[in-house]
Parts: sequence; structure tokens; C-alpha cells
Amino acid sequence: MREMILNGLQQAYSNLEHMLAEFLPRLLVMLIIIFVGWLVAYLLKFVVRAVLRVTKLDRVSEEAGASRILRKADLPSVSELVSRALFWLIWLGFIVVGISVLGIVSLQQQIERLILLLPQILVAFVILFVGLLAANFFSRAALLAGVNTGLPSPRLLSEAIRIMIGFLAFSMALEQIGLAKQTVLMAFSIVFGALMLGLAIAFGLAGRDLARKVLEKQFVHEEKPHEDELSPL
Amino acid sequence: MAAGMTQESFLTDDFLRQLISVGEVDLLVGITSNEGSNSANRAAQAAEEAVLRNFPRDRAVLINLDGGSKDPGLSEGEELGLIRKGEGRSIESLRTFRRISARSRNVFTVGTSLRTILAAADLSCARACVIIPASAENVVPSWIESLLRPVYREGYDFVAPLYSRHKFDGLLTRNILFPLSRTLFGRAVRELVPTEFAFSGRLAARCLAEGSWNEEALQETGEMWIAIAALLGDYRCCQTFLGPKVRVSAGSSVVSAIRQTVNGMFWSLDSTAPIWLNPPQLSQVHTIGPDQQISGEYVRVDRKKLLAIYRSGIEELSQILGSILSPDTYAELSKLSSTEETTFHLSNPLWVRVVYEFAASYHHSVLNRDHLVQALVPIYRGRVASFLIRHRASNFDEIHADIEDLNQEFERQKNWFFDLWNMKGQGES
Repeated sequence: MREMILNGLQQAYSNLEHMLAEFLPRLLVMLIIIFVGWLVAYLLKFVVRAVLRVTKLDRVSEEAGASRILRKADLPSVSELVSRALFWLIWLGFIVVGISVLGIVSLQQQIERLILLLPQILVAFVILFVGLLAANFFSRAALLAGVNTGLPSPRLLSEAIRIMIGFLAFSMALEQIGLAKQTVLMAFSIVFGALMLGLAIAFGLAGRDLARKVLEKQFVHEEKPHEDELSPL
Repeated sequence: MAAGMTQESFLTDDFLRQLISVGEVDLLVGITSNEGSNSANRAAQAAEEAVLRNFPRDRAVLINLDGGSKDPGLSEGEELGLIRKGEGRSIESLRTFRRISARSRNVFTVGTSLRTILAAADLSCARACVIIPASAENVVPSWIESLLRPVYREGYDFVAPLYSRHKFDGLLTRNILFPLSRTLFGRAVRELVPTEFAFSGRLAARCLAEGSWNEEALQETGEMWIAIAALLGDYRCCQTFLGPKVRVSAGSSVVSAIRQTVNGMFWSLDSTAPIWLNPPQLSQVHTIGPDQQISGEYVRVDRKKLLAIYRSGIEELSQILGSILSPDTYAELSKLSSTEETTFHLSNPLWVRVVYEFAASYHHSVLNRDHLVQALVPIYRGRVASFLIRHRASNFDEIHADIEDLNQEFERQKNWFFDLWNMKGQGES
């Protein structure tokens, strides 16, 4: 009995020793890969940031209104954001390769699932970012056009456009990562439908006179006086 | 010629063939049209009469650029209702007078038309060129002669037109384009966006070679860029009085006029900054005929609407204007928006500050540039309202004194503008 216990312990110790002998070099290799990955990622981040600054990407993003969105979200400039994203992408790649060296099957499976999801998340972020940029651009264009043509509530129109495009981008981003596809689709349909119906009812009932004027303006072509008779040039 | 040879690839084979058959010429008349050939008839007849009557011993070519043509297959000469032999023409050219055309189903932009004419001038070695839009309502042979003669006979490189105008017409020119160009370029012509103008072959070759013709600003206001190139370069410029210009009702085109011309002006400032940042001495551009003639017949203007748009713009665009203007300037504009119509006055110093801050913000790209220029529209309307209120009963001398004061104000704030222009620019680099 005693001998069996001792043998068992000896076996366990030898297994542990064997496992450690097998695991420790792998762990070391993993750490080396992760460290090299960090170095490579850091170097590339530095180079990419410098290149982006030379190409004046920040100026372009400022002009497009992207920088303002980033500032609102308490995020750094576009060049900083791109270089940081690249850093994390490269380093994460090295970390994944390093972990795969350990040979732990269940961990490897989880990582594979994460890797499969990563591009989707990235694409979703890009969709959301571009969507917010477009929302910002078009709402500003609508605001300027509304003010310059003397529309009664230009800011309302501008905000409606911003919300609609933003909501569209948000639902597209959620659909990209496959999150509650049906729910998102339904929510979008309901909200969009309700908005249009609400606008139609509001326009038709509350603004009957305005609706008549707009329709007359659109379809009844009669001689209308010019805004003024001055030639600016 | 060399510049033209490198540019010839954008000319169609048919047009190039016609140009080669014409050979070298002394005078070139370009008629630009985007409404089919009928609208070009009047201008073409005036051009032919002007050339045959005043330059009968010189070789001339008349080029009709017909954009939006319904029948681009018409052969040479068929398209223009020119004075034909035996149809009441009492004079004929002693040398050659040729007519050629370039047509396209697509509408020609200003830039495309100008570039085609510049290339044609360069390839045909024309000494003097004049451009007439087919839409010009009251073009007469004497206009063409008045524009061509200074270039052809007196050695000028650029001739701008001068018209007799209504006292409230051309306010965009008088409030932004003219004072800016006068202050920054050292000399200025009153019509910086001329519809009819003349230029020398030398200037044509330079503009053809150096113009960034694919730029949107040049596509829309190429004529202004040619004028600025002449004013800033070593070119002899003058302006010649043509007479009354038929008034064209602006309607709602103020926005598009500002989007095109102010964008073109700011873009030109951006691309020529190294030259005007070392400002030359102010010098006068020679004027042939009276400098200005202003008429004062009644026109209907809705001042209340102008003020309403100004007030709405200042309130609704607060965020956009806040990123373009300094806090002080915005605060003054904001304070002004609560003023009654009778006392509303957007003063010259404030207006100059607005224009300079917009120009600097355009240079620093604080916003999408088209949006930035559009944000100027409500303030411009406020300025127009202020001008109309102030000069409702003013005569020519009073208006002239006010415009001169505005020009002086642009001059006074020039150094501050240079600092504004360079300040952020240095920070960026």
C-alpha cells in the first residue's frame, strides 16, 4: 500500500517534471515571441505615425470633420489612432502565435474563435466610424443649405439627417458582428417606419397649410418673384 | 507652342485637325456656349464684324466651343450664323478669316473652355485672343475691338472689361474680390471674374503650362485665375470701358456665385501665397475710358429677408462659425444680429476682419473648404443688407467714398492678416 502511494507520487512527480520540462521551454519561446512582437509592433507604430504625419492625414481628417468626432469621443488624432491600432493588431498577432506554441487545445480553440471575430469587429468599427463621418458631413451640408435658402428650422433637418445616418451606420455595424441580427433589423425597421409615418402625419395634419404650399410650389408652375434683383458679380 | 504640344492630348482629333488646317494666326476669338449653336450666332456675328472692320489685314480665327450640343456632327462653319458672302456684308478680310468649332454633347465647364482656347491660341501662335460668352446679351462689335486692340496694338497682356453698372450690382466683387486682390496683389482690375476679356499669346502659353486645370477652383473660375496670374506676373494689364452690362437677375444664385468665386479667390490666395506674402507696391492698372459708371434706377430688394437669413445664420451656424472666426469677431456679429433694421450696420473694419479670418481658415483647412465658403453666405447677406440700408439714397460719390474706405481698411489690416495666415501654418510644419 505504502509502496503504491510512493510509486504514485513518484509517477506524478515524474509527470510534472516531464510536463515542466516540456512546458517551460515553450513558455520561454512564447515570451520571446511576444517580446519580439512588441518590439516589431512598436517600431512599426513609430514608422507609420511618422509617415502619416508627413502625409498630413490629420489635416485631411480635420477638414473632413473626423477629428472633431474623435475629440468628442476623447480619442487621439487619426494618425495616432491608426498607428496605435496597427501596434495592437501586430502585437496581438504575435501573442496569438506565441500562445499557439504552448499547445493548450482549449485555449487555442478560444483564440481561434476570437481571431475569427476580430476582422468582423474591425470592419464594424470602420463602418461605424465612416458612418459617423458621413452623418457629420451631410448634417453640416444640410444645415448650411437650410440656412442659406432660408428654411424655417434648418437645425432640426440637420439633426434628423445626423441621427438617421448615425443610426443606419450603428445597425450596419451591429449586423456586421452578427449581434442580434433579427432584433437590429426589426428595431431599424420599426424606428425608421415610425419616423417616416410620424413625419407624414405631422406634415399632413399639423402642417396642412405648409403641405399645400410645398406641393403647390413643387407641382404648380407659376411665375414667382425672384429673391432679389441684385447681381452679385 | 511647346506648352501647347504637351497639352494637345485633351483636344479632340477633329478639333486638332481643324486647328492644323488653320495654321498660324494673329487674332483668335473664342466663343463659349453651352446652349447649342443658336445662342452663339449673335456673338459670332459681332466678332466677325469687329475683326473684319478693324483688323482686315490680319489673320484671324473664330473658335466656337459648343458644349451641350445636340448635333456634334455638324461640319465646320455650318453651325454659326455668320455673315456669309453676299448676305449684306460690305467688308471682307484681306487675309484669312477662319471659323472652326469644338462641340461636345457634354457641357463645357469654364475651365475646359478656357483650356481649349488657351491650347488653340498656343498652337496657332495667336498674338491676341478674346473670349466672348455666347450668352452675352448685348455684345457689340465695338466691345471686341476695345478688348483686342490694347493687346494687339499696344502690347498689353491682359485686358479686363469695365461696365456701367447699377449701384447695388456687383457687391460681391466690390466687397471681397476687388479689395482683396487690390490689397494683396498690389494692383487690381474691377471685374476680376470677367465674362469678356482679352489676353496675349504670351500669357496664354504661361497659363496653359502652369495651370492646375483639373482643380475644381480652376474648372469653375478659370477666368479669375488668368486675371490673377496676369496681375501677379510680369504682365501688362489694363481695363477698358465697354458700356452698360445687361442686368441679370441674381435670384437664388448668390450662394453658387459665392461658392464659385470666393472659393476660387481663396484657392488662388493659397496657391500664390509665396508671391503676395512679399507684397508689391500698390500700383494702378491703366484704364481706357471712364473708370466707373453707376446707374441708380429702382430695383426690388427684400432687405428683411436678407437680415432674417443673417440672423438665422449667426444663430444656427454658431458651431461652424466658432471654428472659423475668432471669439471677438463672432461675438460682434452675434451682437449685431439683435440690432433693429434701421440701425443695422456691419461696419467696414468688422467685415474686413471676417473676410481675412475666413481666408486664413480656408488656408488652414479648419473645415471642409466648400462648407467653409458656404458659411460666409449669411454674413455676406448681412453685409449686403447693411450696404443697402446705408446707401439707399446715396449718390455715386458717397458710394465711391465708402468703397474706397473699405479698400483702405483692407490695407490697414493687411499685416494682421499676414500674421494670421502664417501663425498656424508655422505650427503645422
